Amino acid sequence: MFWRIFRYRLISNIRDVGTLFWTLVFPLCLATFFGLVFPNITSSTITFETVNIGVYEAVDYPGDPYLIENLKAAKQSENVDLFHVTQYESIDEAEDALQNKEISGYAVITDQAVLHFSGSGFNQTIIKSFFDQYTQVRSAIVDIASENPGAISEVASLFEEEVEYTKSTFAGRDKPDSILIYFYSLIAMTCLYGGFQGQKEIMHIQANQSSLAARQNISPVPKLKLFGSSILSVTLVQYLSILILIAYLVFVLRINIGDRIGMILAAAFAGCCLGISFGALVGAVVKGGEGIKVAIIISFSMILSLMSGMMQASIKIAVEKAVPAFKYALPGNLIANTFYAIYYFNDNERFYFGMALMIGISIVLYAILTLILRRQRYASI
Amino acid sequence: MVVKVSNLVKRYGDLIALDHLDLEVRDGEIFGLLGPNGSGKTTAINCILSLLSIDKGDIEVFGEKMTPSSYHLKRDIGIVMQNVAVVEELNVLENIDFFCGLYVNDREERKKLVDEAIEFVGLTEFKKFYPKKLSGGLLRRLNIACGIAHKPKLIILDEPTVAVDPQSRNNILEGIVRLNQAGATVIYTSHYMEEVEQICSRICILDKGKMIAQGTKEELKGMIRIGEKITVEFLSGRPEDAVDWMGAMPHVASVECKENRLLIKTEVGKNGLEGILSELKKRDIQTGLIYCELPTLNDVFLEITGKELRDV
Amino acid sequence: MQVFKVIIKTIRKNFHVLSIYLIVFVGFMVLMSSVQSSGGSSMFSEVKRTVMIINHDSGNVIADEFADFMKRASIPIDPVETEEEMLDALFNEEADYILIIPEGFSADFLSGSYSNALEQQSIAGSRSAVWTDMKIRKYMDLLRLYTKLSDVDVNDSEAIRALTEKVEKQMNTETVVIYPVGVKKQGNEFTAMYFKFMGYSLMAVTILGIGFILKIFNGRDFRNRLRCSPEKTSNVNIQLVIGSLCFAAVAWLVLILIAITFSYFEGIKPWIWLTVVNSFVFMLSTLCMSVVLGLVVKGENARSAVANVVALGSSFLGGIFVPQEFQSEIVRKIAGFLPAFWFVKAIDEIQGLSSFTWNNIRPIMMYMLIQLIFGVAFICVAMAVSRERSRRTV
Repeated sequence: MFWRIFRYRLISNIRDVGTLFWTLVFPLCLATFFGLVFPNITSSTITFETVNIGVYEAVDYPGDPYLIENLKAAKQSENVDLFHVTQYESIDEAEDALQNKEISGYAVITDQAVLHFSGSGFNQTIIKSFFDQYTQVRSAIVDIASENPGAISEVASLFEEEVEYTKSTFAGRDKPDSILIYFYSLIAMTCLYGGFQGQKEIMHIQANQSSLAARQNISPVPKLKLFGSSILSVTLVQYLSILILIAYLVFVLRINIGDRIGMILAAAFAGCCLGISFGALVGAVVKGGEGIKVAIIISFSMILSLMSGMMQASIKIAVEKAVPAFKYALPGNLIANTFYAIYYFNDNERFYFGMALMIGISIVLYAILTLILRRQRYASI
Repeated sequence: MVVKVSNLVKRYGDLIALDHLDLEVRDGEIFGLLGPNGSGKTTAINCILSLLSIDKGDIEVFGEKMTPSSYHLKRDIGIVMQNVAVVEELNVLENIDFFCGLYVNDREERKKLVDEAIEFVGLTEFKKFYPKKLSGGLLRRLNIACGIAHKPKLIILDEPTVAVDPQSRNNILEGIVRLNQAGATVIYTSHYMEEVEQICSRICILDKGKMIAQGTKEELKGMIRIGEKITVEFLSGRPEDAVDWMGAMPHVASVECKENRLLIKTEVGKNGLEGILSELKKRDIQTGLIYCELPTLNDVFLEITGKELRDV
Repeated sequence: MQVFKVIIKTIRKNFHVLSIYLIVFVGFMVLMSSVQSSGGSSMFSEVKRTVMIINHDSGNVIADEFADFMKRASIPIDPVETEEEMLDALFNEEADYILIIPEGFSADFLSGSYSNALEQQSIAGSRSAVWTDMKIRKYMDLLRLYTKLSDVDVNDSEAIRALTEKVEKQMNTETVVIYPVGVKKQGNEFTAMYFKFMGYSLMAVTILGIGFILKIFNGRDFRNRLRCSPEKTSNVNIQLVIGSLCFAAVAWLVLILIAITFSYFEGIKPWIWLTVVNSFVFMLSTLCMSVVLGLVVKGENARSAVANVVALGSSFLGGIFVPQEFQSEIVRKIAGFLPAFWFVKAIDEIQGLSSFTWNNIRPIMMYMLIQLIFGVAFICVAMAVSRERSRRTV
């Protein structure tokens, strides 16, 4: 009996295109928009790329022979050069290249170096930084030489060894990437949209909400059995929707949300339960027609998605900064932060806390629902 | 006794929907619950089915007290609700199988029952259709099939013919009689007295939550003083003048004048038509149309409540 | 006036659906203004990077001076206590780089062990890491030079301070840079953001509202009944246009008033009125787009689905949520087919205005004109669709 009802509810839920649009197609559309917009965001997380620089050495000045050598030799890391150097025969040539955006800037080297940029940006900052350093070291050597002429001989040996002053103690599991906030928020929104499914199932079994429900209430099937099989089927459908979204993010949009698949599946499930139980409770408690219930669920999920950073990542950051408890108290943020913990933290404490909360809240909501559903006679239908 | 309702009171706030209602439905009959819209028919049904809480009274089904968890009783009840209650996303076959499956566990048996039900309501050609694609009449038939597929002993039909074309309506009514002949007890609610008269063996008339009459058609009609209604069209003379002498004639209960016609109601059992005709002839009154009618349930309702069933 | 009244009643009946977008809009405003007052960094900082400096070796000259230098050279972020908070700060881009000066750093440095003496947390290989590493190396190289080559007593903190001062002095030597003249100034980002976001709400509300209206007036029975009435068709159409326009204008007015109210707290700039005009123009083109969508899309569910997808899609692609400058060339080319793109472009342009000369305003006018052309194009499509339809069905 249980499984037959489950099977038919499953078939109905899969055929209910209207609801599936919101719980599946709409998130996929948004994911596509995100995928289109975000890969090119030049935030500070963007990887460094070799800077193109032009050099013009004025003929009448015998420039520093080592400068260009040094420019070419400078490295960002083992394999990545800091600069790609092009030498020009005239200033005009260099200026043309600058205007055509072939180079980020060019240096005119006389007795000192003068930099020409067309704007201010990161590449320009790097170029200037290098030339600053170069001038500064030269000026420092002159400074030292004036006080301690004997020391000059040691200078060369000092710069022979490249010293790495810093070592990384970064303890995250994976690269920080604030763009992920948007995608976590999207997953959270999808989970919360499960509320539509929960509300729908309640409408199908509360006799005072639809004639279909009244009809089923007259059958010899206990109400909690109806409820159990309905919720189970809708949970399966909603869980599949979320998994399809996650698969789309990972395999099509190539978003790295971490490699701990078991935990991702678990968090998706907990988020799914949270959304459905929330919607079911709205469906059971709120008086009024379906329109009002749906409106409440939409408003809530939209605002919670907004708070979890769907339209502006900085909103999530600010909200959680203002009230740290919101990290876990707002359902959207709770779901987003649990996924964040899977991706980013070696220490699983946050993940388990998030999971415990999501499952705990769902259980409480379901317990309240069970109490409400136990009432079997209605004052009016 | 299949259903016994005694002293049932149901209030919606200040409104008394059912006012000390008593009903008895006997085994094997088609019991008609007749009343205008808003008279409490559906409320009574929902109370019997334990969907609604009640303020006072007792309800017994198959001799046992009915509660929401009387699942063994519910197993033998079939219900066709006023509003079409089918699952939009399931096709005809699946819908019937779904509802039948709430009652019958055995797969083989269910398959047989579902096929029979589809045949019964004549939806064989529409098995794979979704409710959205069905016309109003077909949708009603699906609604009925969902309610009766599990061969219940008691079938409750709540206005199954509302908004159905005459052809489908006849189809449905015939079906109900067939179900009854196959052994089911039927409770049938409607505000169409013709339907109730046509198929019901016993009838209860409701108005404003009160039972105003209960019995067979004949018993009900026997409750009122009218035997026949005779209408006479005057081609000469003024019908107004005839009112007095006509009223004085034996067996005539009342006389009314409408334009050039005289409406005469006679007493039960005695037919005064012959006397009236000869009296008319004697007075040399030229008559056009003359016809007799038997009293209908509408007349019963009119007599008891002072208003027409149709008007409400 | 009957047609007009029906329009007003339709909108009133569906107000609860429309009000959702109003709530989301106000919610966004409140949140954004709280973001600003709490001083959160905007996501895309310019040349300087945000660095959190945690000095465990304070009290020692080298560590203190170095920390001070780094604070001046970057946008310093308040240090946090726990490892977890540091990770959060990096992920949320509150800090691009976390520099930890370990205890005993100064002494180690003076004794000649520099390698890996400092700890850092950052996104390996990112621009900000490269930038900050360069800054650190510059300072440390110079300091190493000075400490090696001038014989100072490691215990003489005054002498060491003199060295760090020399280093700082050298650090101030800068290369001459020649910039082109007239680099644009940044305006008030938040006010611009309010007006951009208003575009999203306006789209959602207008598409839905016009959908509700057209659902009624495009119903076959209703339309035929209107045709049979003594009301002239042209009169009906005029009322329909005026009614729709009134609805859109009221929605626009409400949203613009909210946007202006919030902007008021940020300080109103003179260009705000140009933005208002721009948003009005956008409203007109959105209205025309809504008519096309309302004619083409059938069914309640499909309608609100399309409203959401179009509004959110235009907003993401057109640059309402994510600045246009951060989008790829291809996306920007695609987005050029959306009125929202030009709406945002105009706002960005207005924001960058330094003076109201014709030359400066001309591109803004162009962008508004493009939006209007979109509107006209939509109207043509709508007319073609409805003519085709009335020919096919009576």
